[in-house]
Amino acid sequence: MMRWLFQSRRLLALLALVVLVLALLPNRIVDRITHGPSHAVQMPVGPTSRGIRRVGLWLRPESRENGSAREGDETLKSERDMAVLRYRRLEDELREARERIEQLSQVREQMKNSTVDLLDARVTAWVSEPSAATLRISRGSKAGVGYNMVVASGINLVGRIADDPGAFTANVRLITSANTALAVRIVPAELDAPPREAVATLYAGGNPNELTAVVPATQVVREGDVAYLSDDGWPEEARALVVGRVAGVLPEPTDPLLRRRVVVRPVPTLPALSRVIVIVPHTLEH
Amino acid sequence: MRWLVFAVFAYLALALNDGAAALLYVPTRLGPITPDFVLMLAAFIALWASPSVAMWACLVLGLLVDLMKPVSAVRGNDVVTFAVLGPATLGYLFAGYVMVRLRAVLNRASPLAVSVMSFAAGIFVHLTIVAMLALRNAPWFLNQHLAGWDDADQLIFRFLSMLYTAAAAIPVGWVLTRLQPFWGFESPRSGFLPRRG
Repeated sequence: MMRWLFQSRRLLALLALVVLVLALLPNRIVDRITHGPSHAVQMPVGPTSRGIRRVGLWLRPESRENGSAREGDETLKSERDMAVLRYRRLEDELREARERIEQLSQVREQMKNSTVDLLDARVTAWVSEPSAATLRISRGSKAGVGYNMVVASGINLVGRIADDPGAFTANVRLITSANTALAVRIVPAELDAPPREAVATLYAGGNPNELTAVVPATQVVREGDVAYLSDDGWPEEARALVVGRVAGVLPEPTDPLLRRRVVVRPVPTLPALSRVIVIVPHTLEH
Repeated sequence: MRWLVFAVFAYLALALNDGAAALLYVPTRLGPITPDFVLMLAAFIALWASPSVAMWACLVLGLLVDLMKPVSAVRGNDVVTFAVLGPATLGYLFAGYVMVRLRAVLNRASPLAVSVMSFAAGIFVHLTIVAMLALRNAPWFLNQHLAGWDDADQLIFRFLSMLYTAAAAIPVGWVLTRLQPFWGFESPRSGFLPRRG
């Protein structure tokens, strides 16, 4: 029977026809059909690919997020500096705009109430495609991971859960994936710099490791500035996470006198992350 | 062919595709390219297995690739990621057919054969994938709004990836050829490597 099955060209042709029909179904139906099998295949491959990935990151230091213990210290230091910077910016805002103190207090109160769980997850794979840069992580719905949850690395924004996760796996769509648009506020990185702020919308596309925005020339943005998320379309817990640092400020080719193109690069090398944090809101916890 | 051996190698190829990317990636303007170990495995099997078995193996490998590699599509204000069953499955099936036809002109005991075959197979696999996904995306056909899709970018990116795969297939092909006796290929000529000299 098996021999007949595997030698039957007609069966092969029939299967090819079925697959052709499946390939041309609308997205919603395809998603329903492939969701279970996809995660069922990804789950057993995860542990082995994670092991290979760890060896790879060890052998190729430049792709590591932390590189070495010393680099790890530096990363922690820079993260601490940026955390202090964010705190300072909030303080400045409070000091300069007294009429908004009440409003900000309410926001802070709300932040206290909306507690979240931070779920540590290992990265098992990185899928590199021009249209969909994704990381696969080793946590799924069993751990409380859900669609659209925010994924971070320290205080750096990594992306969002891209689909309904499997029981033990989930895909993270990186912020540098195509079709991403992020509203950010760009502030100086130096703690003692005079306060200034630029508002911009960063778009992914073109270079897969960068986000770009076009801002009016009147807005002051300098290389090394920090862009942090202020996008209403993202969950509250994602706001004020760092999207990246300004890597370049260039004249906008179509309007060089009035506009500037700001290039922002994420602080960690997103494809080389080995661990990430999934921010799980309490209300969505299983 | 021993299907258990095939299952082990397919598992390893999928794990290497995912895991080795962090070590072997080469940055390009369109994103980092990585070698495709599943394609190398398909090329190796197509060189040694009987035609029908090679076709079935390619079908299974294509199916696994489809399930492992998600695509992104725009849904309302969101971008969702999911697996599309079909593009790689059909691509590997076409490639399997071509490879079975092509193998007569190659010295299959040579590691270079896996490399050449990987490149030839890659053309069919990637052209089919791009064609199927472009059809899904085409406004005059399915109009399924794939996120950030650009036909030209995809073709260039995949061509570069094919070149890298062909280069990486030389050492991998050498290893696979050494392990060929474990596979139990049914072809009368395939039981042992030809003696040299």
